Amino acid sequence: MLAYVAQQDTSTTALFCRHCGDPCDRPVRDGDEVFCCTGCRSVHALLMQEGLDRYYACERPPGVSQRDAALREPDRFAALDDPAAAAPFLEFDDGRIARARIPVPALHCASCVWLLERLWKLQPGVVSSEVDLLRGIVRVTFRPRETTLRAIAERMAALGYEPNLAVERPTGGVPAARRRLYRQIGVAGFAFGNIMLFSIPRYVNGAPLEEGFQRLFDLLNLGFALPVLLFSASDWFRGAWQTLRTRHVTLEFPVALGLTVIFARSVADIALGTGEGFMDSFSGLVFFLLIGRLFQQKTFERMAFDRTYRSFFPLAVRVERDGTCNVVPIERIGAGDVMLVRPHELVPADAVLLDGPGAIDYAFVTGESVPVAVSAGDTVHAGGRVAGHTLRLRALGPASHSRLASLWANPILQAPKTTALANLNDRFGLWFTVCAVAIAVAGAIWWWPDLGMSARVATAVLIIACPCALTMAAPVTLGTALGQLGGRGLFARHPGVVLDLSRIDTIAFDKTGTLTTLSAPALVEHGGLPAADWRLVRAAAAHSVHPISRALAQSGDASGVVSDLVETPGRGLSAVVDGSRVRIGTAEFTGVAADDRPGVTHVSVDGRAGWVRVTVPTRDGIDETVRALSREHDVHLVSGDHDAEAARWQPLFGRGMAFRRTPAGKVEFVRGLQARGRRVLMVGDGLNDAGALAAADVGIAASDATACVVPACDAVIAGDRLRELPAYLRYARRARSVIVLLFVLSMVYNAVALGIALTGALTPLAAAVLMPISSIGTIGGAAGAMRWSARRLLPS
Amino acid sequence: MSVIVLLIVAGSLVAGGFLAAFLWAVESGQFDDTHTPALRVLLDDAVERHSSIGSEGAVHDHTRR
Amino acid sequence: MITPVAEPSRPHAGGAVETFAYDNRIVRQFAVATAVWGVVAFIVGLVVALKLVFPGLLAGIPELSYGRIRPLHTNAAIFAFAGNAIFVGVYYSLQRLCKARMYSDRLSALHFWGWQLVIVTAALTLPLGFTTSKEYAELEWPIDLLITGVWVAFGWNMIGTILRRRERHMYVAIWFYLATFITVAMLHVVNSLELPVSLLKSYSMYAGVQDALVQWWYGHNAVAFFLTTPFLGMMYYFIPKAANRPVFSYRLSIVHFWALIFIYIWAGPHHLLYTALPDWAQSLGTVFSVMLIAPSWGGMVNGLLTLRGAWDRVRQDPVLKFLVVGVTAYGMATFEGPMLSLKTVNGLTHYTDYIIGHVHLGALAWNGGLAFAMLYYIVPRIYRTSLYSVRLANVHFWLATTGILFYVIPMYVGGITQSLMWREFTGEGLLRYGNFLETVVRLAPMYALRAVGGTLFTAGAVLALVNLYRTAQQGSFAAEEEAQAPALVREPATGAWHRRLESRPVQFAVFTFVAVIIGGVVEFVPTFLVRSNVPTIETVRPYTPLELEGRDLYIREGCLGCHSQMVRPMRAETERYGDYSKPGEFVYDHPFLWGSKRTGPDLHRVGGKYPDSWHFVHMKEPTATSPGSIMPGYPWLYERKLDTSHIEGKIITLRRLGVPYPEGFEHEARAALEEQAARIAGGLTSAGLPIDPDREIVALIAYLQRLGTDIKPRPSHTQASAAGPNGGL
Repeated sequence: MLAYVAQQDTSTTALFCRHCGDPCDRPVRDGDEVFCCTGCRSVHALLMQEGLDRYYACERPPGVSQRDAALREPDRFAALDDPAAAAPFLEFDDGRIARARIPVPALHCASCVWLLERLWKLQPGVVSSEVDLLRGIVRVTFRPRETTLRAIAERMAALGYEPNLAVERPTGGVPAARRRLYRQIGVAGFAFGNIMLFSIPRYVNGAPLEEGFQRLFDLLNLGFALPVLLFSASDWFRGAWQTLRTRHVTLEFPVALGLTVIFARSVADIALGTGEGFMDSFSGLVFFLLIGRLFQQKTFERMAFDRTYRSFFPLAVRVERDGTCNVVPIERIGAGDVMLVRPHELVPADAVLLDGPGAIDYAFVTGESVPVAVSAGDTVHAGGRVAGHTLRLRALGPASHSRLASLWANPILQAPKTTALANLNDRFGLWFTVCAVAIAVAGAIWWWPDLGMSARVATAVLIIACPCALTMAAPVTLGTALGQLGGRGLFARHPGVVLDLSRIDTIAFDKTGTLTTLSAPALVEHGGLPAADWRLVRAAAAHSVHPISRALAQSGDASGVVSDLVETPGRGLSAVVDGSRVRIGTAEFTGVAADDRPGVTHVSVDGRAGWVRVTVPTRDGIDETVRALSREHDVHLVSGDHDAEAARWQPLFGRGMAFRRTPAGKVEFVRGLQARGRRVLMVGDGLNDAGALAAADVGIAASDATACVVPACDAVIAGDRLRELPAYLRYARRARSVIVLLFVLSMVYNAVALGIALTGALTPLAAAVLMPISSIGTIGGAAGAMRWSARRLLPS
Repeated sequence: MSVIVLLIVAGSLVAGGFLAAFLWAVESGQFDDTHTPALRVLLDDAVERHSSIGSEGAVHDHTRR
Repeated sequence: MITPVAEPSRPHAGGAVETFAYDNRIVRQFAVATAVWGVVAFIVGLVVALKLVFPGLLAGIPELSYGRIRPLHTNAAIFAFAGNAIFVGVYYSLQRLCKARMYSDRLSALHFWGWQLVIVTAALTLPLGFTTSKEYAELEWPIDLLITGVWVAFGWNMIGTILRRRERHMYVAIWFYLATFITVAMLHVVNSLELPVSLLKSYSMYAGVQDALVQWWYGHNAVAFFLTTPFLGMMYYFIPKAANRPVFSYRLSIVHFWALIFIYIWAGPHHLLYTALPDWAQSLGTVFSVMLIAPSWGGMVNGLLTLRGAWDRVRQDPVLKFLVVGVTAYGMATFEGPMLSLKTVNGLTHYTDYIIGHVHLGALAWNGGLAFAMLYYIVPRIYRTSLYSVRLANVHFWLATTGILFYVIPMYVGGITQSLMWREFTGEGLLRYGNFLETVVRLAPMYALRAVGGTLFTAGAVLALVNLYRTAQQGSFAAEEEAQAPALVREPATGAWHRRLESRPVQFAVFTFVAVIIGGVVEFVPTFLVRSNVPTIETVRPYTPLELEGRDLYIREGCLGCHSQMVRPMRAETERYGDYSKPGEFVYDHPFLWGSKRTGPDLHRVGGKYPDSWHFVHMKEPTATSPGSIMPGYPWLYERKLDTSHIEGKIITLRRLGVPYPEGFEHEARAALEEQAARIAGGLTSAGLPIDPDREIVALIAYLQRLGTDIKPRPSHTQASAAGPNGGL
């Protein structure tokens, strides 16, 4: 006990923040309390003054660190005053009373619940609040006349629970459909239990019970079975009805048929007094089927959740904060941040254009890639791509990963090369169903006229034949894989990509920005121009995302007013800086005498010729990666630059190298490989190789501190994760083998089960238990295997 | 064994009642959130808890300072 | 020490915020009652245990004879100790879980004082011999009515509070409390249906087998819904609170509740295995009992895993210690139960001390453990102080734990030993221990050990009493615990509920379900109630008035506490006692007297086995006929005049219940009684044992000599058909 307190003491006094428990490198003191930052101190002070010190009754300090609270825009919740912006968060509002769902990611412990459910003590007008910790939602009931959603959000933020308004419509608790499923399960389970109760006596007694009891029990069973038929099993019948109406066979059909047979048979038995029927099997079957359905739904939900929230979509943008301009991951963007978005980069959040004019290409949103002109003061929507020259924008709100991701996954942009997985499943399901029904009928006829037997066989066949096991295998496996990859640095556009990845046998790398990187400072040599001119050149370069330009721009003072900037992929960039015409690029582009020294890029300022040579450092670890890959694939290098560095890459790529390729040239290269029947994975930065990425079987864009997303690529990878490529490929192949395995297993299962069923050796109840087990087995196996392999094969 | 009927009726009625209760509970969202309630009870006391016998002693001392 | 919530409601917090106070007074009252009645119950139990070691203890005092105070002990333990403990837990946790004061202070008071009144009346009537003889339902009809009233008050108060709650979600504990109220209400009413003869005498509505079935359906569910569900509710509240950790899996706790609810209710018949109950009903009981393992263990695991990572505290904190032992014991008992309901195991253990051990594992460790944990948790809090002495509490813990071991293990050993002796045969196919007494004397040391265990446990409880008293003394009682919470905002009519009803299939389903149930009842109840399909046997006749009075004495003295009246169809039993019992033999038994424990031999076939004189001598001083017997003597039966004042009423009542006494027989009854009494008394006198015919012993002998004789003259096999469930009619 004492030891316990002591340990507590150290954890709080030995320079751990009293509020958030983080170590305090620059401790802030308040009396004998220590804080990691003034933010934490002020929250603590507020709680103490409100007498809410019970908040700290947790074992470790429950607070949320307030370090970057200072960086946040004070009026970032202003948007909530606009009804349109507030609408998605409001459950209802009758003007007198209103309830809102506010997403608060920081929720994590009992104290959070306790505090946020006492909002009414802290915020006038709040009636009550209820926390849903797992979903990270706080439901606040308040009087719109006395307070506003904005005020509430600001109060939460002040308490250290920053509402996350970026989440599209917050998930509304449990959807009605799910509740309905629970109710169906409840009814089925209840009926099953009671029907067992009235059926067991018959079994243990061997013979029917005393007349009176047998009839009573049979009728009771019938009574209990009815709700199961009409309520719990209704969805299958609805599905079957669809089949009959739309002539499009659904998977519910055979099950519905089976249920009908077994129920009708039982009713007949009871009515004619020829037996006690199979009501126990019937209700049991529905019960287990529903359990299977619940499990399936949960799995898919989890996949969707992983995809939207756990996936890291590697994007960063340059932000002006207190004068300095630094690169910030977009999830750290807050309202009011001033962003510098360069050509090709995405606008990560809805924002206002500060100084125009400029052009935005909304290809992502509309699929229409004709740039739209915008002028200062216009609102630019997240997902637009900057065309022409760099724009200065003020963010109106935080950026949203899930939103950008969904834009990018927008089917409009999807290349036609996706594997026809889904419809394959449909067709398969159809055939399977038809066969099952056929076999059932055949079985029934075979046993005719033994009515009991043929009914029993037909039921057993219809029920045990389980297409879901087969149809689920691929989607669940790939879906889970997608989520796992997303959580581990490779963000694929759709499940099919994983399958495509597993088939890759050839890999082509773009050089600059892929094998090489700008995250480390580049070596820049230049000559031929007076120092003054270089400032102009750097100013122009600063507006390009091309590696050479970025290296050049970073090499010194890049100030200057830039106008009519034009960038031609593969040739160069031209702009007017402080009145002088600056060109950077190839000799013919800049119009200066070709300089045959290797690695030289030509520059001209008002005709004055100069040269610059940028040596971009290679990514550390890239050699090992390529070497590893080359063991199982043949690897190629395709670059737009001259072959100056050929020697350096020779040992890795051997003869599989191509230099001086224009974007079109790169596409040629990829097509060439494919022509030789290769399945090509293209890895590039998406600047001069967008076409190639699109052409390849799988195109992966590596992204380094840019907000560039290549519409055509199938996956995005954080530059520093490139070295994990072999792991990702191995994982994709694992996914494929899992699918194959599951297919084989459930094929075997169906074959065997059907066989037994046809002999009539299978009671409906046995079928009822086996069938859901098989589908749960498949789904669980798929998801489990992929999660497990992810832990084994992938970097965390 | 007429009494068995009595028991079945009594039992079924109660069971039916519980089933109704279950349906109501699910419908009214009682079981929507199956996580937070477990945490909610932990700090439900009105009065500052007393380090009675060690169990929350640590916590208590903790909050005192 | 003033905390925010104790401050007066601040205007800016909005009108909806209400300031209220938790009622700790009622909690304290029930807490005191629990502790005090607990000690009483334990002491009575100790006396009962000692009487088996020293039969001479407190001998000759009718009110303190074994047969009368054994039910006193069980009732005190279940309804006084466990009962009050339940109410402590409910009244403390419900208010806090609902963020509301109890619905009505008046109802609370009514509940408290009413319940104590029940206990006191029970403590008076049982020793005086006023009992229905139905186990755990011994109290006579006026007290049954009182209990019903008090229970309704409790339920009304609880449901009212729930309806007024300020917390939208109903924590799982509340569901367990609700289930307790509803189910116990039903069980109590159904089982207590009885027809009064006089103010303190009534006959059960049901006879023989049927009475037995109802009784054990009740008996089992009393354990399920009085000693299990409410304590599970408390477990789900107090373990997280004491460990300051959320329950391991809240979802599991919800599943646990619903599974338990839907299974438990049907497990009753396993108490009647091998009896005259139809086989299929017995098996049903077994099946459902075995199914019960799943939810029970789900609950136990959930409780124990809640403490993962808190074991360091379990070492320091007596509250957690008691909780852990309690929950563990719950796990053991709920595993043991289903095992005991397997026919073979049951055949071995039933009627023996093994069952006594089983129930005490549950009662002492599970109910006792949780109750004391709760007291140690609550009392310091409502008195705004800390426990007077943690060391003392730890001493209590170890006394209790060792006490339980000393109690349970000897009972298990003794039970098995005796059962094996009962069924042991010699090579010649004779019973090795033909004399039941031999198997009893063998148990003496076990009974002694058990008494030691009981003493330890009781001593611990006394320490707890002291500790809690000193705690209260050193603290300052917070009768009204101020709290603040916004009133619940009614969900806007999103009409989810309506939608459900609108969906036609469901409507239809519900209606048809109800219709079918009603239909079934309408179709069958009448037919059933006219002709019960218990096989009737020609030769079985109603009891004569004297036998009837004797039977009521048998009930009054609680003979069935030690003697069963149910010979099971096993060789060992038919050899020892005679032909096995047939359902048809009990059709006039209101109530049934099968008993559930054989401290002494079965008596169903005792009729005519010994001469009247033997019984005469035996009853006065058992050791005179059976040296070494631990049965107490009943000297007062020889002095007291038999009270025949109600004989007419009894005859009439029983006729109403279907016993075929001819019309007007009630007028001849007294004459017939005196005639038979005179005959028996005469026989005794001529045997050198002079006795007035109007003494109670005469009636008792008359009854004993009648037992099981109805079918004796016939060879048993002709009855075989009548025995099966299908036979008769």
